[in-house]
Amino acid sequence: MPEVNEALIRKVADLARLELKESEIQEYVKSIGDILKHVDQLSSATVEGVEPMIHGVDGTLRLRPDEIIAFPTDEQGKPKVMQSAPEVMYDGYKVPQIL
Amino acid sequence: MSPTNFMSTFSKTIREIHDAYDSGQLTPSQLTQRYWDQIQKSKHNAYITLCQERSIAQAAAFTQDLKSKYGGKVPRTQMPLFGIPMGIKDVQTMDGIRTTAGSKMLENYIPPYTATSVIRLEAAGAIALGKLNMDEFAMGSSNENSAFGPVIHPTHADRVPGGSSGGSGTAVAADLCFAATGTDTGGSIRLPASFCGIVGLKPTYGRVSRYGLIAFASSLDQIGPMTKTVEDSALIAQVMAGEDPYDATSSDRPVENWYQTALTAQQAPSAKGLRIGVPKEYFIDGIDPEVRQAVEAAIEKFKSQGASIVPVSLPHTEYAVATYYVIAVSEASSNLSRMDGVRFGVRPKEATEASNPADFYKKVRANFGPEVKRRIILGTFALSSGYYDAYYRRAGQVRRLMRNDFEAAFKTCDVIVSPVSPTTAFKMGEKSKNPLQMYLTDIFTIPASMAGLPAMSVPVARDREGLSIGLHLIAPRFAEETLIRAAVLAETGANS
Repeated sequence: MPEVNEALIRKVADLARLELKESEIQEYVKSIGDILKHVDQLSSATVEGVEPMIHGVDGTLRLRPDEIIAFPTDEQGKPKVMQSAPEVMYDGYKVPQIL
Repeated sequence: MSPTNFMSTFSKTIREIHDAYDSGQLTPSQLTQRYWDQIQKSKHNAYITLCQERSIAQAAAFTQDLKSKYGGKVPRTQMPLFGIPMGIKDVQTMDGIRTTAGSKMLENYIPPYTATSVIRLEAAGAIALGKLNMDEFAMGSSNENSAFGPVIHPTHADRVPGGSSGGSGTAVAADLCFAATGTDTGGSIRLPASFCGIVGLKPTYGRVSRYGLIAFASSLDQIGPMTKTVEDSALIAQVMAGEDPYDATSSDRPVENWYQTALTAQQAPSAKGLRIGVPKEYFIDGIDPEVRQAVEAAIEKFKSQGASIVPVSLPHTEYAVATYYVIAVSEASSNLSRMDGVRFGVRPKEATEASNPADFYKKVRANFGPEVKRRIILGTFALSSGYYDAYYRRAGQVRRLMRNDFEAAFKTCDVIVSPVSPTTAFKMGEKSKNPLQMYLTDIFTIPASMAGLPAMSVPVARDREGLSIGLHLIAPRFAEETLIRAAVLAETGANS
C-alpha cells in the first residue's frame, strides 16, 4: 500500500478534476488512508488463477438493431435533450472559450 | 371497514386499497389527498421534489375512469397498481420533472425522458407523488450525505433512516406515500428498510432495467420496491421487472408471478421442504445482542414452520467491504466523469471564467459533496496506472470468490438468512466523521450485491428502544420466488 499523503491526494484529485480545499486534503489523507488500510486485507486473499468478475451478468450482452431513433422534440421542434444544457447556442452546447 | 375508519388509517396492502376502490368506500383522489395532507404536516425531509398538481390530476383521472371506463371495478390484471400513490427515489428520471440524485450538481436537471422502471409503474396505474430524498448519487448508509439535507428517521428523530434510499424508507414508514422505489448498490434498499421497519426487495441484478437510473456502480446498481408488506414488494417488483432493449444488462428471463407466490405462501404458511442456510461468518462479534437474538428467533420460527436449518460458510465475507470499496468507487469515478457541466447540470459562474478545460471541470465539479469526492478520489486511485492490478483487478478476483462461496452454499440450502446490519438505526452524526465505520454498516448486505443475488429485508422485531430489526434473506440468482416465499414466512412469523 502506498503512503497516503498530501501529495498523493493532490495528484489523484487533479486526475479526477477535483479542486480540494486545504481542510479537505487533510481529511482525505486521514479517511482515505484508513480505508486503504482496510482494503489492504485483499492482499491476503488467495486469488491465483481466478478470473476477475467485472460484470454483473454472465455471457455476452445483447445488441439491438442499429436503427436511428429520433430524440423527442419540444413544441418548437428542438430536441428535448437540449433543454437540460447549461447554455445553448445555434442548437448546440455552448462552452466557454478556452483557447 | 367503515368509510370513516378507512380514511383515518392507512391500509396495509394494495389489495385492501383496491377492495375499498371497488366498494366505493375510497377513491384514488381521496387517497392521494390523504397522502398530501400527511406530506404537508411532515418534517422528515423525505422528498426533494413534489409532484402535487400532476398527482392530483392523475388521481382525478383514475377516479373518473374507475366509474366511467371500468364500471367501478379496479382493472387489477391490466393495472395492478391502479391508483396507488408512490414515491420515486430521486435517482430515476421522469420526463419534465427535476431529478437531482441528491446532488447540488444536478439541482436544476430536468430530464427529457423517463426511466423504464417508472414508465412501467405508471403504466400499471401508480401515481407518483414526488421524488424522494437520498444520499448524493446513492453514496451513503445514513442519508446524511444529501445536498438537500438529511432525512429524519420515521419514529426516532435523533436517528438516521439508513441510506442511501433513506427518503424512501421514511416516506413509506411515515405514510408519506403508500410505497416507494429504492435503489441498491451495496445495501441501499435493504438497510433503510431495516432501519425504518419496512420491507425492501433488491431483485437479481438484471431483473429491473437500469435505463433512466443515474448510475453509481453499473455492475451492482439495481432498482427495487420498498413497502409495508412482502406481498406488495412482490407485486411492485414484478411490475418493474423484465427485459428492456434500452438496458443491455437487463435479463430476458421470463418474470414469474411473484405476487401469486406471496399470496400462496400467505394462504398456506408452511416452510416444509425449505432449507434455510445460516452462514457462520454473519454471526460475528460486534453484532448488537438484540439484533442477534431477533435473527435467531426468526430462524427458530422457520424451523417451527417446517424448514430445515443448514449451517453454511461464506468464507470470503471478511473481504466484502474492502472489495466493494474498490469496485463500486472505481465504477463511480468513471460514471461520474459525465458530470462535466457541458450537457446538463449546474455550471457555476466561476466555471465560465475558467482559462483551460481542466480548470473549467474543476469549478463545475466543486458542486460534488465531500463523500462523493472521497469516492471519486478512491476510485481514480484504484484505477490509476501502477495500482490497477493490486486494487481493481484483485478486487474483481475476490468478488468472483465471494460469488463462488454463494454458489457452493446454495448447493445445500435454498435461502440464506442473516441480520441486515450489525445494529439498529444509529444516531445522526454518530458515524459521519468516520467513513470506514460507516462503510462497515453494510458488511452483510454487500456480498449479495457483489454476486448479483436477489435479497430482502423483512422487519421481524424491535429493540428495547423501539427501533426496528430487519431479517436479511438472500436467494440464488433469479430465485425471487423462493426469496418471496421465505420472506412471507418470516413476516407471518413476525406478526404472530
